[in-house]
Amino acid sequence: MATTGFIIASLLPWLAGTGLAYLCLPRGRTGTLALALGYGYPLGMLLVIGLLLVFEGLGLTLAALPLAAALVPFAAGFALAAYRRRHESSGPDGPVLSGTAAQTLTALLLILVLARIGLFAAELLSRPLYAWDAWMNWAPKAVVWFHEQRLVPFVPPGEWLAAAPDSGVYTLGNRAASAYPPGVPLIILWHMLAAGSAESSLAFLPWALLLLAMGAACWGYLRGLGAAPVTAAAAAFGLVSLPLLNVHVAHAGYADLWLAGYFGLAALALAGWARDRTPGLLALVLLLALGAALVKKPGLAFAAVIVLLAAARALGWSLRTWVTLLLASGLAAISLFVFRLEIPLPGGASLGFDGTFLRLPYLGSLRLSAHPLLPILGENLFFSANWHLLWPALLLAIAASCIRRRRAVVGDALLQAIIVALALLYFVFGFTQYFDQAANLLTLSRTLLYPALPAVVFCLREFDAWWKNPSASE
Amino acid sequence: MSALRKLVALLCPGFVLTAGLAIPPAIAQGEAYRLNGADLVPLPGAAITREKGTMIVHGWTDGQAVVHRPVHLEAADYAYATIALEGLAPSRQARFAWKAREEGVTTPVKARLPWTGGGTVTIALPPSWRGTISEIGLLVAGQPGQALRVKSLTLREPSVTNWLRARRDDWFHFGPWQLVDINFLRAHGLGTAPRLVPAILAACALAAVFALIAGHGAGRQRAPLALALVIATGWLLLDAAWQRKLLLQLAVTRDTFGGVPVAERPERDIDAHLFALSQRLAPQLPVDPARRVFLLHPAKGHQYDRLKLQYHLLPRNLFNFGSSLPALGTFRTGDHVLLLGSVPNVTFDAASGVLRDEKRAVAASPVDVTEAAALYRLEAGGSAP
Repeated sequence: MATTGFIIASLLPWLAGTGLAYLCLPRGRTGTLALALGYGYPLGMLLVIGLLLVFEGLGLTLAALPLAAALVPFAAGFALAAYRRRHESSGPDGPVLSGTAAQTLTALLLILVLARIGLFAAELLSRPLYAWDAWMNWAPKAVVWFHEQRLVPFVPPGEWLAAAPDSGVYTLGNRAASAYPPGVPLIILWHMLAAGSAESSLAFLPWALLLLAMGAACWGYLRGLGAAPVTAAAAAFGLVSLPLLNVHVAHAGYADLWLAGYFGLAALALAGWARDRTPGLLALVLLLALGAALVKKPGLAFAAVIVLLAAARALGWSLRTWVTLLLASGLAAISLFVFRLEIPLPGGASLGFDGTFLRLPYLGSLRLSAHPLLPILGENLFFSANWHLLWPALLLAIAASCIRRRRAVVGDALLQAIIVALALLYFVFGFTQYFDQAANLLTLSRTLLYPALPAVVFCLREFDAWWKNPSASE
Repeated sequence: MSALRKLVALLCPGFVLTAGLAIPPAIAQGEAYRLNGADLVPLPGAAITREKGTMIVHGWTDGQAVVHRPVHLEAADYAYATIALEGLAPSRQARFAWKAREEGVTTPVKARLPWTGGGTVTIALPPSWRGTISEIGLLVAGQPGQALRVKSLTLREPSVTNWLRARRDDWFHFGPWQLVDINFLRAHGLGTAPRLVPAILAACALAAVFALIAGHGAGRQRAPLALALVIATGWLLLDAAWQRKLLLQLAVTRDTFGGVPVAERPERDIDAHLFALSQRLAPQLPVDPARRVFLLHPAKGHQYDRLKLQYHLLPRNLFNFGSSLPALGTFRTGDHVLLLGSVPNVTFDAASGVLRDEKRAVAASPVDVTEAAALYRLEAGGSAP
């Protein structure tokens, strides 16, 4: 019964999300279904988050059946609409590497992808919840909500003490966690409701399914660009084999994999939109960015990165305009620091600098000072066991792209997303109090998961471009 | 032969080194000092039998057994130790131990033996292996019903073969999941010796140089493809080691939790003691959001026991900060205070029925008091004088 409930709870939103993504994707491409499946799972979970919040807003009891019933029209509607357009979206097959060897290699890589995910599923279903933040920050809310069948408020410890003793508000053992975004606990809750138990290991299987979806998106995206199946399979395998990403599946319950999924897929959608300018892709970009903001607090910043990059393209400004704008922004930032300005913003938030702390709207305060991050980052990227050879490969791919495309590489949306995300992380860990969390190896590696998907796709896309025509520039 | 094929052919030397390191060296050993398992002596508490030159350990005290042998050796003569064990589970630890005497001071030292799955492991002896060695031995973990066969213990001199053997066992050893893995996976390998990821990276760089040199001229356009091949090969080598770890881990996980109902699995986990405590306390704590539980523990910051116990007690409404009693107005009669472990600043006066800390005194009655935890029910009147 629990397994049936779980299968329905997984497939229903996945179907809805896939249908929605399929409608948004441009027509006439190879790999559209795989790409839609890749976007579809996180989109489906976004739908679930929204549905649970709507139910709570309407004061309805959070029970599996009514929630599933409410999801059915979405799943049926999107799937049906997508099915009707299936012929419009099946494009000519991209160039396929000929020969049995290439086909065998492709099949082998895809088998390895599925075997790896199967292995994680077996690991997840065999053990109790293990990962620290999972049982400290994310699962507790879901457990309480499951038992109460409503979204009981979680408040910071001070507010908990100030509330009436019988108010029924909760607080978590981590001071900051009660104010974390609700996305991940709601995803866990959805699967707990479906499995009919707060103890079921099935509640954490979505971490493995998300990895599967991300792998499918890698395949579909590259096939859509005309890459050979073996290249697309290599991308899916490259992503699914990343050790730290693997740990985040095997030790399910952290929010980082979801942020990596939403941000990474949003970056793919952004790159697709930059190329095709299909309005549906822009809608995907924005929906996935919303997902990023709902699963983790830093997701707000990464969602902002995506939205800003999309806005930059939408405005269609020239490079000169952008340089001017960047200079003006730099000047404004310097003024903020020199004159110690404070700019009030809606919702009681503010942007300001008081000489030590940079106050950011909705994100908190950052104590600014320069730290020696480079050695720690170098150790992490090139010598740890976190990434296999991802980052050296990315450096080579960027170099190859610069040689091949020269100045045009600056306008590459995928690369922009990777670089801006890495720059943001470098600022946070290299110039604020969060350096401590890089030095003690607590957080830095996890945040590097966010640009991992675009990085893998960028490497294989570059490889494919050289394979097809090394001297061509786009 | 096409330019690409030439490049591929030239990539090979770069990987010869890697392959040489990964394949178990079959060269004759530079063996210097060898003890058979049967030559070792058990310390009291370990039950053993001897068989065909080996020692079988089958009796354990506190899950551990120690076997040793007095020796008189100069540490400088040996740089590696090879230990042959049979029956050691991957989740169990084994240590090589010795006593080093230097300048009149004898120091006992232990070195962890990586689990390789092969039954034989070679380690590079650390800097603490120095002076005169007066005793060597093994500390092995086991459980009743488990038997472990100690086949031999060999000390080896410095040599390339032994270095390769130690590197292989270091790089490809298995260790079960740790909580910190979610944050950072240390490169395969212990200590300061060369590690697998940098070694593969170096081999890739070497191969890439060959590729670029060979690609100069007609094949230059194909150089990025050759580089991609280099990266892919290095990636696959690293992933083979990683995949092996994942498979071994799955076996350990299944060995630990296999066939156990979901609700009982925490009894086998690393926090089984906390789960058992929560199971004992749970019936006495109402599942009601309006009923508060104040969990007190002397630790500041994120402490495993207090946080994990809170998780096990869900969906009860816990406040899990500090070690001070709750202030008046933050609780009602019927709420609870739970002291986890020893909380020195809080005492219970049984005569007056009052819990006290430096600042407060609250009327309370004991519900469940043990060394592990003490649960008190807060009584009418709240704060006491």
